[in-house]
Amino acid sequence: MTYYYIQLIINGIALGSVYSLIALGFTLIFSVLKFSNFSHGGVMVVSAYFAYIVCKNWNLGFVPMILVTVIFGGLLSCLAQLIGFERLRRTKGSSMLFFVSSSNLGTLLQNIVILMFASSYYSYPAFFSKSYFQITENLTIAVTDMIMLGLSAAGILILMYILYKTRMGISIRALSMDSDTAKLMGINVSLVMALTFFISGMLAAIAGVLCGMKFLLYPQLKDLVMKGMTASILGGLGNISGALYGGILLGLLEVFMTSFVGSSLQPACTFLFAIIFLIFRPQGISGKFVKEKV
Amino acid sequence: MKKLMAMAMATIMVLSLLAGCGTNSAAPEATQTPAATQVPAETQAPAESTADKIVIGGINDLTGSRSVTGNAINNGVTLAIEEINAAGGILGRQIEYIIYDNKNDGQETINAYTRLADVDKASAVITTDASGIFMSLIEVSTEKGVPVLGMPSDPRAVMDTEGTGEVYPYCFLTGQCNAPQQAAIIAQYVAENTDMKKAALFYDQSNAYAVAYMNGFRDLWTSKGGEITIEQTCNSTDQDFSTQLSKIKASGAEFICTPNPTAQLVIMVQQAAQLGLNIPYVGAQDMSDPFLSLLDDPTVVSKAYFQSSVYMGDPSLDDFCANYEARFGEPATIKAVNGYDSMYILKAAIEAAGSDDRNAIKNAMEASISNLDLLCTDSYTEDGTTHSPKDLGMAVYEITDGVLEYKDYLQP
Repeated sequence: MTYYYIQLIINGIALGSVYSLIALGFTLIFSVLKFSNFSHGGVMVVSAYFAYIVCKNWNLGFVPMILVTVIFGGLLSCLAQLIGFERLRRTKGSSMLFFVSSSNLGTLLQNIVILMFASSYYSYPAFFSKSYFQITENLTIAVTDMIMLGLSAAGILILMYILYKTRMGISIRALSMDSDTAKLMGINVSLVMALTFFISGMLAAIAGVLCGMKFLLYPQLKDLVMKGMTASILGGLGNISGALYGGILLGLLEVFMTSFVGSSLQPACTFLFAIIFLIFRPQGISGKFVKEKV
Repeated sequence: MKKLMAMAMATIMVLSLLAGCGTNSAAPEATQTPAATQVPAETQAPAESTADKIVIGGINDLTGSRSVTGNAINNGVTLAIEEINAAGGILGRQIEYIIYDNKNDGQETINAYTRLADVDKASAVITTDASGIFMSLIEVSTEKGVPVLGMPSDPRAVMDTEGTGEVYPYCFLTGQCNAPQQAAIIAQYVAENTDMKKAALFYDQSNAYAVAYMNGFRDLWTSKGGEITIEQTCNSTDQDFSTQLSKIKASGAEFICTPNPTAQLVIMVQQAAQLGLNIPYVGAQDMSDPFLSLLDDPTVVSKAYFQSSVYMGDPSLDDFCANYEARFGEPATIKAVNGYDSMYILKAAIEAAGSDDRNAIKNAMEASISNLDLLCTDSYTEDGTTHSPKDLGMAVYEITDGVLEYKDYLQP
């Protein structure tokens, strides 16, 4: 029985790492622009299918495929920003418009995938000789889960370094506080915005590919962004390190609730727990949160 | 520059609405093969231009949570209609196919059906395999009187099984037998051909097909002396089944019976392998192609048994598969076969009726569909008393270390 609960914890952390990785890119945009960017899920799913095409046509290994895909994801996210948000930002559009635009962009990107890959499921080739590690006779962990957890943690460290130790990070943080003053201080706001979306797109691409590997390639992968958003709220809205904590908490909650109350009651119980948690700690696990536009 | 940006944004928004909202399916075909642009042009034609054509309606999930299945059915129907039109149509008239996206939503389905009946003047409708969605059409089809053909595997979709026992007059199951019959076929095969006695049941409780299948399996398995060690459920949006699989592993089950859809099956089998759960599976036709090809390592399925209306590797399907892939740029699936066969069943009904009158087609569906040569069988008969296929069996397959093998053809 002990092994059963240890395996549940491993499974919960593994599932949580998926949510953390999604929440990371989502949180980055939230921390700068203060709105929930639902086009993040669209970038995820388009990048995941792009990686599939790359694998199929160029026969690339895992690392080169990821490198090509993150650049694609970054550029796609920049394009989404240019089309969906740049004009709104320049004209100081209503925060509701940011929300509507991001939601529409997410749907548009998902529907492009549906139009192109409509009637079948797809999967990546097997990149690794082993799909999981045997810890003990009764305990295992999947390779993709370990990669996700590692990338989530590494992504947070890199983002924290960029945000707090580099000139670009200072620009991003200045922009998140007051874009007009940042512009007066000589910061190229459009460039910084583009860079922020580029980084967010890179994270979305990694999350998309790894979700495609862990689950399966299908257009509804986009919907995982809602779990990413929940994770970022639990971790502390707009807080970078909170994305990791929130994701893992959500993963553990889902796994244990499924075990204790069954899958039919699990969503209700998980969200009830989340509501109670936020009543007592509205700032999330990390203790800090950024006010949202919408 | 500002005008240019405004125009670009407006275009994107319009495209987004076209792609995501419940309009007709002109776009999917148009984007897949340029040669197919005639189909979307036809689908958008107003009702007054259809006087010399037979209008067939389609309602499927093209952009919702079951878009993969919905698009496959729709593509199968589209391919059949293109073949029929190229061969001169039905009764010397071309077919106009008008398709609506229901986004896997019951109300959207009713709206689309009403529009097809009242505005587009469709003679018949071919729709989804989702039983719950199909059932939303029972009442409105009785009122409007447009025959509906689909692949709902829950018997309650075409017959009032819990009440009067009468069929719903305009609802027809085509191309495959219903879920309890499918479950009975595979349960009987496993009971008679293996030594396994202890079953774990794992199914998607939000999927009407899976629930109906499991009810059928449970009844027959226990009547044959089999034991059910544990029952576990999941929801259609779940991505992680490790908790349920851990419980199954601890239950001492000798095999897992799971009629879940392909996407859930692939994730489940891979997660079971990661948990060191290496026991046989008994499943439904979602275990046929492309199931094995989607696994990182197909050999993780050391043993599995399932039934299927067709085997996609059958040489008799080669032409269909080649034409489908050439037309849509994707490999054909069983759902595409279901859609394709349903259109040819409808063609036979219209020919037998001698007109595109809705009631005449309904009567022909009940009385005149016999011994059709289709992809699923070369002697297809529709039973007018049950509105379901008559004596339609299914092929039983066995997977051993990731290799698929045909075993038998059984009838329920």
